[in-house]
Amino acid sequence: MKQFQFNTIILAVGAVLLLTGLVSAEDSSATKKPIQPQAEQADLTIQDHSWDGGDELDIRVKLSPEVFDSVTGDQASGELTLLQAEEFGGVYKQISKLPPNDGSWELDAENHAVSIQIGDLNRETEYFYRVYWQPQEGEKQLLAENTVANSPERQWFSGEKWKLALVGILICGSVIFFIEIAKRGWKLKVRRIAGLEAVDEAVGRATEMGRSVLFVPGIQDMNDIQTIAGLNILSHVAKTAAEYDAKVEVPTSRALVMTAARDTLQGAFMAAGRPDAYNPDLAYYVTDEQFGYVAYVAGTMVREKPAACFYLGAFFAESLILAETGNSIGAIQVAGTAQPSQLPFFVAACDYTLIGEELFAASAYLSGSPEELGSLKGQDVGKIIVAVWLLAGCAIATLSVWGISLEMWY
Amino acid sequence: MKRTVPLLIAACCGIVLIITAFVPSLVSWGETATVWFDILAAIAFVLGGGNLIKIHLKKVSDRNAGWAYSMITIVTFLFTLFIGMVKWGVPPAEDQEYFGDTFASVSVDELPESLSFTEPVKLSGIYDRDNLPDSVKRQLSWEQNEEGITSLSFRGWMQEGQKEELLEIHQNLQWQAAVELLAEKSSVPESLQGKIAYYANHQAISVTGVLTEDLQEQLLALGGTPAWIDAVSMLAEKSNQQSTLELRDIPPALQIPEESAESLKLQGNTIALTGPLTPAMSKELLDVFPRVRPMSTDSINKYVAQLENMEGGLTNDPDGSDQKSVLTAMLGMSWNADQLIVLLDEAGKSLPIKKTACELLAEKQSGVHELKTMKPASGPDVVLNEEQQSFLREKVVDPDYNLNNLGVDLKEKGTWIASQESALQKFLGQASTIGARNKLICLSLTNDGGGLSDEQFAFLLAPYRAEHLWNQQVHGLLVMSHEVKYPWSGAYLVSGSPFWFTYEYAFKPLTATMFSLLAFYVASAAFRAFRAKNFEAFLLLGTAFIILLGRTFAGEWLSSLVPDYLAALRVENITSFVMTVVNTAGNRAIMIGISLGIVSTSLKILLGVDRTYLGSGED
Repeated sequence: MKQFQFNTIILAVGAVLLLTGLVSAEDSSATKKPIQPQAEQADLTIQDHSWDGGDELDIRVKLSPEVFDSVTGDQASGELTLLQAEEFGGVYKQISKLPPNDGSWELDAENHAVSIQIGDLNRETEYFYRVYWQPQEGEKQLLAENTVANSPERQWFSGEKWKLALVGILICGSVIFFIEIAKRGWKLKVRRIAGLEAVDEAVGRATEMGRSVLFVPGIQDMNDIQTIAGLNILSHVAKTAAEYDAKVEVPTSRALVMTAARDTLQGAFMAAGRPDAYNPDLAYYVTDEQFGYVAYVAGTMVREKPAACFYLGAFFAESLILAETGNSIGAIQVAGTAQPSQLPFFVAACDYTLIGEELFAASAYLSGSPEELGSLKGQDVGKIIVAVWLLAGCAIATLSVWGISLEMWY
Repeated sequence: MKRTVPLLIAACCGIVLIITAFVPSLVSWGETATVWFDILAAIAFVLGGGNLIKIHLKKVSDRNAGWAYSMITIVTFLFTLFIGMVKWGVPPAEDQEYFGDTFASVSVDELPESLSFTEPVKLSGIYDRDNLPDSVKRQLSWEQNEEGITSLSFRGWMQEGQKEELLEIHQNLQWQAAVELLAEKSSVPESLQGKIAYYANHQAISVTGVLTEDLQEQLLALGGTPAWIDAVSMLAEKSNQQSTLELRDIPPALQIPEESAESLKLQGNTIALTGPLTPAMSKELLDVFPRVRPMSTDSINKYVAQLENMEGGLTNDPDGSDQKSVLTAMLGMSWNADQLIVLLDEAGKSLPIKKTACELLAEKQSGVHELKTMKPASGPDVVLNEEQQSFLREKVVDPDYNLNNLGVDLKEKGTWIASQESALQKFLGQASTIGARNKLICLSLTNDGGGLSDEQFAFLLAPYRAEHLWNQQVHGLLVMSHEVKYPWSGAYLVSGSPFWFTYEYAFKPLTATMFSLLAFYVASAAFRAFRAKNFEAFLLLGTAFIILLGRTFAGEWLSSLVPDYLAALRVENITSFVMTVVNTAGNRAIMIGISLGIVSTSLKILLGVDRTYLGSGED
């Protein structure tokens, strides 16, 4: 019930925000003059660039065949210049010319028209344009100008991100869907992850040997999802350690991670029924500096010789230094990161490694709660979508080698 | 509740960031959310520092294993914190100091009413105060009615930079013309120009050099508040402070410029300065050493012979060290008369003049359809005549001729305009000094494989040493007479400061040492990883072997025997295939999994499904 209320609040917040965006976009357009295609001269059309943040205008100039050929042909014999001013009849400044076409001009040979997208504009400002043609010989001619002010408008949605939005909705939707059906009792199976199975073993070993457990949550701050994933696993490690009465030490390289880790430890000790065993000094701050942190942790490892070391979070060059030091003191080591470049080092030096997504799946795997397991199934839907796209892409690329392209079908 | 509130904050921020990525009108909300995080992180620094001290003090107190390291950590932490916070040994930022100027605090509101300038205007359209440049926000105001802005007001004197910024914000002739009129009205009176300025962002009035009684009277005549009167008195007091400096080896050519004679007095070896040394005065004091000028062949040969006849001589081996040729070439490398003639002719060209916004507005209102921003040049081009050219060619190589008289002499022989005189002075002022040239000569002669005797060094470097000593003394006078305005404005990592020294010579070597350990760990990890215990390990070993071979010359050399039609089997090609196809495919698979994992985890956190990072899942 509580979960339902929380989700409702979050969805309500999202809806309010979207509505605010929609309203503010409408407000902005209400204060502006309506965009009008060029009225005085039919050959210059200025339109707001659709679905943008209100900083672009699309300009299209329909030219005579003679002018079009003179500025677009291989042997260009004239020059088209586009000028912009903030008042009609004011000082016009050149903003683009053709030729050369640096890719900003789009040519429509069929209609003898050229178009360009003008950016970095201000919604509060009115813009006027003039198009001049300078033939190879003779004077510069004014081809077209607008007398009605044009200003870009802001829409409520950024159109260039529609693909991202679509994929996001599909994947997020499937994750939420599977969480919901998992709540309704649908049985979900998750494959065995050896690294997570070894958590109990590692903590048990440390207890038997009378040594501590070292947990390193990476060197990034709380705004990195890998750190959060690491702390999720810390919760389980600390709970197990509290049950076994083993000592867990969490040196952190960010102060915010330290406070979060303390909360995690406190919660875990309480969940294990050992609130008395909790000591806030178990999680402490070392330094933000990458190698200063490594020097401290490696020194601690050599001096205190923890029996189990966990490296779960975001790691960079320090990954191998830590893992090799751990190896040299004979600790059982479990590592996990979403930094692909560091995975080989962990694989080489640690006993178990959570590769990429396994780090994020760990929390669900360890908790075993149906809601969280449901999210893993949602991820699988994403994988299916990606796999289908990959196969389709490979097939199209392969067919194109034999000269078969999609364009042939339409 | 203890868990729900943080969850709610995290979820709200997360939702805001997601939505702002797609909704342009809410972008600023996302930026605000990230700023909040930065503020939190900054506060956490204090928390982290406190925790660090506490943990390590405890270790020291309990004599735990490694307590000595904790002691070192505490001491170095406090030391670095101290020298970083107080900016020990860090000089003030030069761009904040306004050398030569004296400041006295007076806010915009405390300025006399006579420094309020109002220009009636008629501006229609939308003008937002938020769009105004920061430099004028305190000083510019306007009155507005339904039709638009009816008057523009400015408090204090408008500086050129402020005017330029105001002109830039609206490309609209009505606005620009109004700004031009207001700027004209609010410009510093002619009698105060170049001497007095008002800096609204510093809330201060400034005087360049000394505030004379005449200037003081003029400022007080503007009327004003007690704060203004106090500021003027303070300016007078501060800008009349005396500084004296004992000088050594005063350059013979030193003459106190006429315009500085009142504030700068030289008595014997003591220089007495009233008020601060301005950059212009400093430049004049420094410009007392002869500059390089073209040398005739005879002069060059004479100079070379003089150096050659000294102890040590000069080498002259065309196949080896050839100091004589190097010296001859370097002496001949200065500017020449032709270059100067071209420059003076160029400076004499009459250039088109930019029209003012008022002129453009008047044209527009008179019905001109296509406005031209430039108007034709006012006069004909001025070029040097034959007589001037031949005079110039003759005199620049004459060592007895004083080049400072060149402008006056050229004027007598033909047309000569101010822009040419200015170009001439600039050109002569940019030529390097004899001392600087000789230093380069020394470097070139010793770099060439040859050496120089003490006598030759002394001969060549004597001018440079004299210049260096004089520069130091003038700089000392500049610093001595300057009133530091913002002592903590310098960058804490400025080169030479204790903080910089600690960073450069303690921190960087230590971190580099830690990083270098990686090389040894890679070797030991590779040794373990490549033991062929099973099929997978064997595959790994084989691939590693191919890649190692393919990345070295040996691989290429070994497979060079493979015929061209089997080129794909060459080690470097197999390496390339493994890296671009197999490795990339594996990496991408991991990346896709990671991306989906991030989406799923983020969603779980936003929806409050996963609360373990905040402790247990329960409240």
